[in-house]
Amino acid sequence: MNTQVQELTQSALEKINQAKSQAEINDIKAFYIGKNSFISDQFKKLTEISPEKRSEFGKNINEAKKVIENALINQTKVLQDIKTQQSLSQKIDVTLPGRNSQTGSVHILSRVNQIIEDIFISMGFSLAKGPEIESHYYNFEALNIPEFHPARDMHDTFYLGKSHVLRTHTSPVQIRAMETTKPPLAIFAPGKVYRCDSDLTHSPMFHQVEGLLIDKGVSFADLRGVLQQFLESFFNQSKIKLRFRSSYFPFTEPSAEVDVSCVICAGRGCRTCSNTGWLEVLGSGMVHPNVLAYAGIDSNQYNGFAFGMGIERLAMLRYGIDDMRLLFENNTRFLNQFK
Amino acid sequence: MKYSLNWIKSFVDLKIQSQSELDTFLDKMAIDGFETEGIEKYDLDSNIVVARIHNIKKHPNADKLSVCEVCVNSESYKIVCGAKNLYPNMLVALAKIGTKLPGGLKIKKSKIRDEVSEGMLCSASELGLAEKSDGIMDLTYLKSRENQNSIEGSQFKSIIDFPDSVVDFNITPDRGNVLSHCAFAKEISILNNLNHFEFKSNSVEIKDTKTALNPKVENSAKKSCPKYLLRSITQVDNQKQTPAFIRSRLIKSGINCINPVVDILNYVMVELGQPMHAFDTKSISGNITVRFAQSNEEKIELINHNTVEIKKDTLLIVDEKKPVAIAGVMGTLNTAVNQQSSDILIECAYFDSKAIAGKSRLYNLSSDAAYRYERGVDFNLPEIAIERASELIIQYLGGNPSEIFSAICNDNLPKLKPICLDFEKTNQVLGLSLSNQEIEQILSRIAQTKTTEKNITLTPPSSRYDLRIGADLIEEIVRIYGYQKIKNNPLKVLSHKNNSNQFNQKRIRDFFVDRGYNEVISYSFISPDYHNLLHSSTKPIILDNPISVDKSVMRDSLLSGLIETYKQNKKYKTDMSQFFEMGACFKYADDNKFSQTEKIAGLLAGKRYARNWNHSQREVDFFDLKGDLESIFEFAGIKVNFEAISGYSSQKNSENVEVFHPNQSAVLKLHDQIIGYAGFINPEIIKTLEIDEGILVFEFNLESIIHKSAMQFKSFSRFPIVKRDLAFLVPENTTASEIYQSIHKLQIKDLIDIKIFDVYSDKSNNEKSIGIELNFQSDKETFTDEFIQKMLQNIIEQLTTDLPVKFRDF
Repeated sequence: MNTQVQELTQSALEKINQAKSQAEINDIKAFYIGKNSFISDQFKKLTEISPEKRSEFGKNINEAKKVIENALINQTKVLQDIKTQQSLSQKIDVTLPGRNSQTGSVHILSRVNQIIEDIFISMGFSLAKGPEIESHYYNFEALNIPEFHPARDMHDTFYLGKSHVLRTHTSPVQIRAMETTKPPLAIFAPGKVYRCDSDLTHSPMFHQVEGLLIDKGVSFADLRGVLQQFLESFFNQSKIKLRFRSSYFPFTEPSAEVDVSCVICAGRGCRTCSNTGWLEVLGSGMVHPNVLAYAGIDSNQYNGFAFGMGIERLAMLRYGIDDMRLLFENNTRFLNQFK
Repeated sequence: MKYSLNWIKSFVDLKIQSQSELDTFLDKMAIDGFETEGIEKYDLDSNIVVARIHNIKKHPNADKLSVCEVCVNSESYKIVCGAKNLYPNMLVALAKIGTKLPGGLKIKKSKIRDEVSEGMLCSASELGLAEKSDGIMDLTYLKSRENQNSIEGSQFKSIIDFPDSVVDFNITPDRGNVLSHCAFAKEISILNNLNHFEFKSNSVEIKDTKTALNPKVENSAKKSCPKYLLRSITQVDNQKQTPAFIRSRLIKSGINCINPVVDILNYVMVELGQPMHAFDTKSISGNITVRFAQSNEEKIELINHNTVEIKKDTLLIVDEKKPVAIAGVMGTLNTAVNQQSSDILIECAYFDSKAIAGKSRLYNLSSDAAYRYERGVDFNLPEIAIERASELIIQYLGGNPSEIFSAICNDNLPKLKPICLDFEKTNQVLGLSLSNQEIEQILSRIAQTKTTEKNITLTPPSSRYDLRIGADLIEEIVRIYGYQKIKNNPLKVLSHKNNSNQFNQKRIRDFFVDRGYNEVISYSFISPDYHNLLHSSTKPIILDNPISVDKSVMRDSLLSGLIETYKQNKKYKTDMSQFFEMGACFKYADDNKFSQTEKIAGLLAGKRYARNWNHSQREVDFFDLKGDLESIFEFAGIKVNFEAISGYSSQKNSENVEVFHPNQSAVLKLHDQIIGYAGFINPEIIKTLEIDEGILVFEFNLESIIHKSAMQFKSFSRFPIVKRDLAFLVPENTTASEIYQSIHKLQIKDLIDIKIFDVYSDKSNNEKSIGIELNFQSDKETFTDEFIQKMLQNIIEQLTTDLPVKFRDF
């Protein structure tokens, strides 16, 4: 019996010393001291052995098991050390390029749109949308531009039959918003607009963002405050100066165009601002009582302000793009500059 | 409109001496609402002087030339001249030796056919005052108003108000009332608080008491023409030249000179703002009537030689036989005053802007009269303007004026209504705290005001028809007071609705960008060719007035823009193309209304990866595209099914189908609704587009994926996942979907995933071998081997029942 255990232990130890992997060690472990191994069987047979021999026999197999277990643990450590050393000696060229690193790009107008959206959302304005094929009513009449009014000549309109146009501005969304939401309301509405005009500085399709706030007791000073805050955030400059120039929009009264001190030269005069120190960026005004009436809002109780601006212009100013046509060419050498 | 500053200064006490003062003035005007669109400087050489022809002799050596002795006070010059309109004592413009003319010609002492010429007598065109010449400019009219001695020898440029600066101010459509020098001067006086000199016209002496005119306005036209004035002037000498100062002021205003009568009417229009028209009396039959065209009437030839067919509801001026003018727009050619005309009728009317508006566009013609009438004209102006025009005509061309015959309907003239403005509301709207006195001082520059403690009342003069309501007065106040004095109010905190449950466009955009796609933005209008290629079955939405044919149809798909982008960029030899776009698409709905849908589309072509050292390059395929789409749908929290497009070709609502490769494309379905398509573009279309590689595209409705349901936590199983593989042979045409469906029939709750890990086609047997991994997990227990074996057996049986599968040993 003892000899058998001894021989077994001996062969186990030899095998363990020769084991080259953890898997081998696991197999050896199962074979010699696992559930169905000879050693385990001997433990089960203990009861069959006479009590006087039992204790010594038990001691012997226990010892044998311990010796094998220790050898297994030892060899495991040896193998781990070898593996670690091997791993440490393996060298790669970290200067080789990585796999599949290609990225796309966000269109610059989307990016600018997103910046604008984030600012207005943070100021508490809600996003509003309207259709791009718009009825005469929303694009003109409800904005206080009656049929044949010369103000319609200010817009080079694309017509679609007798009743529809491609919207010439985002202002129709004002009316749609007022029709669906009771005041107080504050919305901004970005989107595509269309004018049949195409040259170096005009695109037949471009983007605007409209703002509208209706509440009780709104003042021009509130409008100034919102625009100041917006423009400072957008151009990421503090102390931008605003200049209001009296103007005419049929849907606001009083109306003013807004210039900002040139964001390139800080108002000293440069090519971008044609040496005037000012950049024209948006149109604004207090909502005309007729427009409120069209939208079903009592102008004795409520008033408000509206403003609108061209996103292309803001994008070109902020990113120093000098040719509007680049924005719609979709040339990857342009697109990939804005990651 | 172009304004001569000298002329403006004759009406207002405006002092501009230097360029910097001019710049300051123009800056202020821009802030006050009148932007400068351009500046022109006018000047002439000082060596051109007013001279008198002393005598005229024939040139000894040339039949068509004469030799004149021309006097400038005590000096005399010998001038050779070819003009025919010279006469003794005629006052002329003499360009002395050394003069540089506007055209660049320099006057030198010269010999013309052996006769010495010591200068040049100038025609209007040589002085830059006309396009073509009608003889030497006759300045003799100056004698009638100036002392002849003092005028002789004076610089010609002083006669025509040179040097002058002409500023082209942009006049917004609401301010038609300032489209004249006199009215604009008044505006400048209000804005700058300067003295203004009112224009006063003199009534001419009536010399013709026999002529009786009887202009009528038909009842139906009285609202559109509440005031119509007509005056006859007989024996006008229209063969004369238009006086130089009128000519010069018209040139500066950008108005062509026609003949003296017309020039004088145009002159009064730019002076006072009232458009007028003159008829040749000989061409008029009987009385003049103002009426609307009842139906489409005859064709008439207008002064600009355009022939137009008169359309219903056009306001017309007619005599007893024919239309003589489209009211407020343009007269007919055969009733127009020309140089031979001697008896004329001057028309001066107030037309309601609504009656004139749109007519220029309708007849595709533009006129200075229509431009003013459609913006509005002061209804009190006709009486003043007709006298002013008469005065000038008689002074310079002679003639016998009749009295003014009129048809006036006072009830239909605009009413001057007082506007009452609340002091407190004014300050509230502007965010200012102006005192009542300040507001009163500002408004009283426009008209007389009445004030109480609470409000101020002002009745705008008839020239200020742009002022109708309180808001208009508030604008005047802030314009005059200055926008820059309004302080910024810090923004009140606004409450905002949280839309964070929406799977927003930003997230979608970022996803595709991260996956390597370039976002593009292309025009919403495409060429008809693209429409026919991509949507041959749908009716195109065509713009009435496109910018060009290739941008004339509204897109119903973003694919054309992507394909065009691909083609443009392919020129630069890129071997990988990945683009996407989001935007509105348009089509006619069933009810023929416009339907507008936000879509997203993408394009994938060329190589999958950039060339790299440790993996091989390959072409993109359908499953690259599908993987991107599966990921975006997973982010959106929706389950979209991909179904082979081949089953959809005949369906009515899937007009996009023909665009796609019939055997390598899928229909995207969400809750049994088609939301889009994905796959290779049909090789036939690729051929038509002259593209030389396969292109993968997808397109689906954005709306279908942005309504993400609110995310909610669900507890998950912590028991181990048991994985088992099955491998079997199926006929080549068996789809993965059929295999999934067969297994799903068993509705095994604990079968949490099926992964196809191997597909190998054996073309020779028309079979393929499929390997699937089945994942089992319970939320209650650890599985026994027996259970798993039973499940596998069930699955094998089900597959065998449903499909011609052959199992290999497992």
